[in-house]
Amino acid sequence: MQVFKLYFKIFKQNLFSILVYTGLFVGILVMISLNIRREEEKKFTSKEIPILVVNEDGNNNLIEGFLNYLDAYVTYVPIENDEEKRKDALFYNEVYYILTIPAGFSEAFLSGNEVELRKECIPNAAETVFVDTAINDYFNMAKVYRKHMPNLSIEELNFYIENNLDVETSVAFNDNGSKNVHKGSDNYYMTYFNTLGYILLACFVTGVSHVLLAFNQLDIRRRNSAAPISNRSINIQLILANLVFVLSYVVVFFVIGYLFNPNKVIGMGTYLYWLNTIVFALVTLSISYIIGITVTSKNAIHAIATALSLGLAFISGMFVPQEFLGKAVLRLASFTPAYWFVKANDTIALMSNYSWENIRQIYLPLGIQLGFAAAIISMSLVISKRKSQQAS
Amino acid sequence: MFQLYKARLKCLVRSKENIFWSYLFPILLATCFYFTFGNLWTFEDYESISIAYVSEGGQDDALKMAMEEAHTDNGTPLFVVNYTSEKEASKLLEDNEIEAYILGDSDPKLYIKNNGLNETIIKSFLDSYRRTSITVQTILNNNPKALEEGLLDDLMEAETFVYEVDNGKRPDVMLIYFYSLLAYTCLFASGWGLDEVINIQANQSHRGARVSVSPVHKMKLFLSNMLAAITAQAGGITLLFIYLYNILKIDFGDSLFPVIVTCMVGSFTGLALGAMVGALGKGKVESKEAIVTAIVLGSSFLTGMMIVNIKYIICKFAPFLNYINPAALITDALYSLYYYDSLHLFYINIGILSGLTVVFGFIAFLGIRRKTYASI
Amino acid sequence: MIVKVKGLVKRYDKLVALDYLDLEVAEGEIFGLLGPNGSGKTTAINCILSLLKYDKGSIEIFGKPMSADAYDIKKDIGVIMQNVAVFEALTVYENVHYFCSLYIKDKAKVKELTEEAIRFVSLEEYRNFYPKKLSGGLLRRLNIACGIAHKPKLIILDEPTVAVDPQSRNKILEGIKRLNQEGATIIYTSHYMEEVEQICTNIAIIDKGRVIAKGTKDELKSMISIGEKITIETYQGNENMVNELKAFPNVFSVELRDNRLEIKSNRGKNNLVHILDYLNKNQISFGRIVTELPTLNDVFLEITGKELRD
Repeated sequence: MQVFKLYFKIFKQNLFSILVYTGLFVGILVMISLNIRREEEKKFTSKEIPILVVNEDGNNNLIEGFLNYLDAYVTYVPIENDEEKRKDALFYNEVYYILTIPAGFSEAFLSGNEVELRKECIPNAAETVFVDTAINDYFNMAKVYRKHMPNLSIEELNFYIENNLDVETSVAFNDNGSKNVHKGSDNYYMTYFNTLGYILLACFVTGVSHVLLAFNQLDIRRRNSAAPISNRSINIQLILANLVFVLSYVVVFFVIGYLFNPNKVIGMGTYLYWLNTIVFALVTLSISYIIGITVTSKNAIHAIATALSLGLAFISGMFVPQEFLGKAVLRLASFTPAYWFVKANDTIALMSNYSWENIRQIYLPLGIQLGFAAAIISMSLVISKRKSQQAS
Repeated sequence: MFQLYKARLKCLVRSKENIFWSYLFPILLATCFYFTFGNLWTFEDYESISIAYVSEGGQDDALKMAMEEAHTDNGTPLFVVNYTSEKEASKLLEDNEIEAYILGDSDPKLYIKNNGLNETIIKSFLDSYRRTSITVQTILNNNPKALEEGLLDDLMEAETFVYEVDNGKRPDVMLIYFYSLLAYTCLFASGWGLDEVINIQANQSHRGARVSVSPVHKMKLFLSNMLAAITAQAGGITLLFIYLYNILKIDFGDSLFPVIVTCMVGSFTGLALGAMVGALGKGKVESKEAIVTAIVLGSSFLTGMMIVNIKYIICKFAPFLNYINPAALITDALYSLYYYDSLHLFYINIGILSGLTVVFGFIAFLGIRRKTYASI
Repeated sequence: MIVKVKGLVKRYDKLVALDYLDLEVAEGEIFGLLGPNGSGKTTAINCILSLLKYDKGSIEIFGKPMSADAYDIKKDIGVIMQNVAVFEALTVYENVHYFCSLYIKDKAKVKELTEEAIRFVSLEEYRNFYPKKLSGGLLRRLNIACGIAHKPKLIILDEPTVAVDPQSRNKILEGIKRLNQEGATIIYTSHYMEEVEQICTNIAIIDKGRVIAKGTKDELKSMISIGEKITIETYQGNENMVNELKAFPNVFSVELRDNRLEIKSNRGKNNLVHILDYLNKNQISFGRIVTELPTLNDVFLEITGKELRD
């Protein structure tokens, strides 16, 4: 086990760099976890979206009623009536939405003329669509009431509309009475593990390749091949050492995921995510391995690690869910193991129970990942064998 | 001085790694972004959502009609509806054949498996349907003739009341990704800055020791080397910018001059940052490289380069971070140029960024000013 | 004096690297700084070049005090460091050109000198090679070319032959001699006594940061008592014989080890003849006989009690 021990000695030499990277990635992971939790908490619950209303129309019954109604959906943030200040607020997300009610709006609306409200909002946040809908619903309904019940007072109008808009469809999860259901955490875990894929790639390719690089300097390689240990034994020991390194990291990431998961239940779903992650860790290990033995400079390794991890993460849906990605991108991505890792996570998230029929669905993505790992490892063994006799 | 500059520049652009980092990698990443976000925020290839509907068996099922008629702006039906029993629907949902099922039409209940975009669409549809039917009831109670007066048509004709202020600058999340990529690339200059310092410090590299015994003033050599580095960096930024602007057609607002200024200042910030890390302490070069990489990648992450929501989280919970994070300052400067008419925010961001650069540069200067060392 | 070092002290925490070191190098010399690994040679050089801070002492070069800002002094020094310091991204020619241009402003002159330096180290065939492609010896030669291209008056070489093949080593040594003949003063550090013996006109032996002996090669050798060392192979050696030999004139030490008789004697005529006579008379058969003059290693051994190379 000399090679195995040496691995960790070299590892220790690179400890500072590895710790810096670990710190970075753990930091990123924690931020991501916080982000998912925040997103989760917002879903399907009434949101307190910070908005600013600039009322140029003055106070009247209609506007008051409307603002009263809207209060159920948003939080009004008072901001100085200054163009710059308002834009700053929007820019720094102090408010998500600025609604301007132009002068003469009420009068025009009540007399059935064309009217327009103006908005400025932060880019493409789902929250702003929500506010849009709330506002449009109100005035659409008011318009219909005004037309067909012309004698309605504005107070009555408000009363009717609020009654109307109070209606909300009840939503239930289809649990079908099955066990092992721990919904809600699934979305957390799906997103967590998908982004973890990026971390695994970036972290392992950098860490593992760095250590391997030390082994693969020409002179060391020659000395190793001159020693009475078979090339195979050296490789197996190296792979073992790498496994120890990678698996201990993966466990740390599992713990972080567990700690930040609002739902602290470890169930079948959790095991499936873990399994998938371990399989993907093997894939990243194989990738790191082949990079470590073929690339000869630290800078180049670094470049490849960053490019590979970011590139794969974007096209295979680690950052942005696969359902948002274009078909062509996904087709391209399906030629990479990263795609299948994300696919498996998404499939696990969709399982309503963990019957064998359901679990069977992830056999294919897991199998494909293992196939990638096996192919890459055998390729690197061939390269390693050939390199042991090469001149440079 | 010019000769020193020329020789150093030659050195820099010949290094394959440098070229990859500053020239190829950003373009690769931009391409990745482009394909990833190309159809991210539009619903052009909207696919009808498969649902099941368990009706209560009423004759005149208005919900069924509404669901069948609903379609997107370009004619794609909103839903593909299966009519089944409740048991069957539950089974279909479990097998992922459908995304949700709806039970009953007078007080419809939505059964889902997962919280996602499609589920939100179904729910909004149902909410709106139910509100409309209550309106119809209320109005008909008060005005029985309303139907003849075209009540249903009026209801269908939902109007939009809120309009985006049209200043030709619709906010766009995709831009934040590309702007932060540009910021990331600017900060790559830190790699050059670090290199230059290592290469001139006698206690950090053999080359540093070698040039220290030459009769060229250390600061003069350092400045011409830095100048060469910024030239090489400018090449990379220019290439990326041309790619973004002319090929991917990314919008940078009305005038390009301040955009270029931002990139320049950003590159200087990166350069100074790298120089500062290089000049501080006696650590191994590898460790310093790790620190620089972590800072650059970390600050880009906090700017939203990977997950844009992170930017908003920072805004909400730790806004001060945006004022000291160079990547955020560059991104915000670029975004303010695109989004705002006035240059107010741009000036603030560029101001702070320049301040940071001066601070970094000054610390770096203090570190490399020394010419003799306690140990080598 | 070209270089004058007085009372130089340098400490690394508790370790005293230089302990009141004094050196004087006169114009036209090839000055050898000889000492085992870790004796303070490189530290001394780095202090002389103002790369290292030192605790005490003074350093003058060309009669002026040396400092990190003394660019007029640096201009006339050529330095070849122990570690190869060249740019990977530049070719052989460009590297020499670059370092030369740090010293000389005139472009045409730089070109001319660059060519000359490349010829000088015989790297003409490799002028467009990148350093990565050069073998250890060639790389050292490039390193030297980078240090001497500007025709410095003083050339400092810090162990330039470490890990160099014999052929390249000879080229380097010859080159140094030639540079000296062309007028340059040279400081040469090494722990190879043969090299120092071969080229240096003046030598300082240092150990533990102190100069323990200095002078010309012959002066150094005359400082010690050994004049000659005679080794005789014989299978018939015994205690008695050793004692009898010890009584010979000039002989001061006789040792019998592994069937080899090692006799050290003071300077004197016919030392060997007397011994051979004795062997013949006593009918002692013997094999090879080797006589050696003392080496710098013997000098070092006698002063410090340890070998120059461990």
